[in-house]
Amino acid sequence: MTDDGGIHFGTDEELLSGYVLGRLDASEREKMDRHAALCAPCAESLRREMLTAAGARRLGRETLKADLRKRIREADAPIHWLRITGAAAALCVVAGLGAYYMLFNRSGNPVQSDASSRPIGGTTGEIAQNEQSVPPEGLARSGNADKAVQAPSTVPSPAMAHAQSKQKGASKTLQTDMDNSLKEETAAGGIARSEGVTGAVQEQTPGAFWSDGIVEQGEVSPGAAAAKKSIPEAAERSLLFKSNAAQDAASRRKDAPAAVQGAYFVRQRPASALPPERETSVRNRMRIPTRVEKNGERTTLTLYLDSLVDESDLKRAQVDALRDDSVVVTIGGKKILYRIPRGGETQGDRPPK
Amino acid sequence: MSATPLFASNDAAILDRIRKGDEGALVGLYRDNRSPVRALILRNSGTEEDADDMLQEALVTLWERVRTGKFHYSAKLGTYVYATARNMWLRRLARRRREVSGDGTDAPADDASPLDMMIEEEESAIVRSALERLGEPCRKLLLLFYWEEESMASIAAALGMANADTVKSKKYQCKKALEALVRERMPGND
Repeated sequence: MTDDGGIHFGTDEELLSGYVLGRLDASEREKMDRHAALCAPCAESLRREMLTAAGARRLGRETLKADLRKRIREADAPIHWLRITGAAAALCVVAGLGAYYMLFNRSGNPVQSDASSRPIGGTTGEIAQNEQSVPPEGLARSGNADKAVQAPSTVPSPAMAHAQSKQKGASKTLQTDMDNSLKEETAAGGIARSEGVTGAVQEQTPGAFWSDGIVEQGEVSPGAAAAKKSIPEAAERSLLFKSNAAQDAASRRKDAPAAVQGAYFVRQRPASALPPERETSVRNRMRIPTRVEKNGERTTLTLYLDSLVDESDLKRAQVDALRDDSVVVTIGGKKILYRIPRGGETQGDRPPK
Repeated sequence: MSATPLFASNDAAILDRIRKGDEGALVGLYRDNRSPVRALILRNSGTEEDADDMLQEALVTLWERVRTGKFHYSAKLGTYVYATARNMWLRRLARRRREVSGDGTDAPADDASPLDMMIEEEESAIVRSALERLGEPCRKLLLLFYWEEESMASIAAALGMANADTVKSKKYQCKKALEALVRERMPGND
């Protein structure tokens, strides 16, 4: 004990480290401060301890930063490669399909959206909730395809026109196509199913708009609680309606909630494919930017995800009505709430030009 | 394609990975926050390099706080990282302004003087450099103790030492070795 009521802590390793690491209570710190003001050797020991801690923190931080930079470089590299490969594959698929339909047309057979013209790949990369009620070929018959059929005979066949427009879109929106993963492009890249996949086609789709899905967390965390508050009905209200194949007849009833009338298709794309405007304005960890395309009775939701969902989960995805203007998409046990207003394009924000 | 259905919010998993010492957990956070942090710093007299640096600093701060048990989850990690980067950048801007004005009059009264700060900065750089030259396991031990703030028992387990007392004794030796290296480099000791 010293005259000032303190102790000579110059050689007390525990007190010194306790001081610099903030493990001492206020009274102990005060005693040490008071003593250090009168005891030069103790003050010097404390100064050295503080310098050692500062140097260690500095080295630790710099080492971690260097490791982080290295990891980012490494993580970016394969994505870049994948994007280029994806773009190349997309162009090949488009060119191949174009050639196929050209050949098919020259043979004199009419181009029909029947099973034989359906692309290989089935439902990979997207799921059809109402595949029985709205079979894949139905996609080609509706919307753009129908309009093309009514065009003069000098106009290329609907499928050809679509392939050409996709080809044009591919060259114009190379960056968008580069962002499509190889798997997504090849699996879902058929004529009937590829509409709306490229940015160019999407922007021309009437009734298309963006909607941010709010994720309801399954796990218990502060974030989950916050998310749940924003969709109270999800926990309390029984779901009004299930838009699956078995209940398709019900989906067409007039009293069915508008939000789930018709067929729903859910597909996914990597978040890296988001247009820059959306990326900076809406992306956060609780919301999933989603492109909603309403085409007659068919609604396609394209979710832009940081981590793509396993295909089996995507195939089992379910769309339920929450209210007249909201649906809940359940994928892999996670619930995502969307507002799908009647005539959505007038209420949702417009796609970027 | 990832087989794990990870949606946008997986803060709990990220925190768990950080607690386990998985640096890869920071990469996703970096990517998620790169655009907003860049936008913020470019709007506020900074460059893309500044933005990347601030974001990395913010992530390292998150890492430190989680690893030392000082992190309290009160906002989404993305929000935390963004706010940390923003505050760091504002502090740096203020420091730059002080440096330009040269008088430091806008510094808070209880702050160390610019000269003290400069000396401290220089001395900690010398210690850092000495630590780098310090061999293993001393460097690792001192980093675990002072930076990661691990307990003696954890350090013993991490470094394969017998027990906490062995670590204490080794730490003392390591500090002496470090002091010797620092003394060589400190001004006036040439």
